[in-house]
Amino acid sequence: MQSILLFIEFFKIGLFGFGGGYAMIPLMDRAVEKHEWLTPEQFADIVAVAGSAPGPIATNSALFIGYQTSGIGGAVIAGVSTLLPSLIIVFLLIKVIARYQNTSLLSSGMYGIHPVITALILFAGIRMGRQNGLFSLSVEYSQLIIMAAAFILLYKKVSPVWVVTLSGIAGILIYHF
Amino acid sequence: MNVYPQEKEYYYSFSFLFELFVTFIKISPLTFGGGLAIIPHIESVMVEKKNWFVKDDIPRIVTIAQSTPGSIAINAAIYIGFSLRGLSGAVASMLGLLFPSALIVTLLTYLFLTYHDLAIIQEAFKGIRPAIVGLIFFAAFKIGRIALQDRLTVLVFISAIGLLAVLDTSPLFLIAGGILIGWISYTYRCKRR
Repeated sequence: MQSILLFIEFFKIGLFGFGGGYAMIPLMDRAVEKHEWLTPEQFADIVAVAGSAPGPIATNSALFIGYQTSGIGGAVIAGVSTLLPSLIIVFLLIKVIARYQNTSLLSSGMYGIHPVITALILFAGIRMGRQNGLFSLSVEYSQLIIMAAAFILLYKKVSPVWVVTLSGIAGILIYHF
Repeated sequence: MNVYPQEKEYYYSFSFLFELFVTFIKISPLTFGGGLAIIPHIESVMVEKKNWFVKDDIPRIVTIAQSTPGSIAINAAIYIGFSLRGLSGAVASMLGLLFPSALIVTLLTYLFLTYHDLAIIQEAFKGIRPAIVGLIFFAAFKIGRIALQDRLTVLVFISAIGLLAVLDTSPLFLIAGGILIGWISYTYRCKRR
């Protein structure tokens, strides 16, 4: 049963994951919460590990969540079912575009999707921040500083791998000593 | 596409599938950070090194990769594989792109699950979690810069935030609504012209 559930949920995530990897995080967040696959903290950690590996963050997190819930088999199912919709839709688009020679239907659809994606990702960030106590009155200021520093570093085109590594080092320096 | 007749046999051979696989293995490490950052690399490999596409093909690759759900790099790989060698080409390219990262993620997962409870790892993650929140805000900022281009898109953005916050609306419903609004406004603009 678990594997059918994994397949359905990750197929849906793959099918509606318009706007690339980070756009799929809010969808995964929902599925994970609904089925109680992970705690919010575990989910944030998985996004961290997935984001610091090369390759698409969505597939990486899917593999990870699948593995956490039902081992290697779960990882394979989650991975394949996130990728399957991309394969099918690219194939359909090639057929459609070859026939109509027109991509305005695609670009006009994306025009409407993009602001929704922006809202979803922003909301996922707020949710994850709240679950990790970032927006409460008892927040440790060092955590807010790390959050802001990560944003600024990324804006300065520093690779996410470095951002994750540096913030890990900062965490050890702050909380170990 | 740049398929020369005298080379056509090669495109149907198994070695070409393998070449696709290896080509995308080499592109894979460049996908750090994800998104559109991968496109210039793909362009230089596909147009300059391999001669499989001409420069004019790139915008179409980008459009399809962006409008298909899923990671942009994977979609680009699938599209390129499909147009060069059909379904088997698409799968070979996709697997090539995923192969190195799947190995690394497996290793990281193993390390993470094994050492997760060590105090020092917990401390590191106490630093990493807020950084990930920053990372997600930045992802929103990056898409938002492209997305919010006029009054309608800002209105859609604000309504989506409102629906999420107040009614906890399903993202799938919001995305479907976004597509519809995009199409309706497109037909409307076409009619006015």
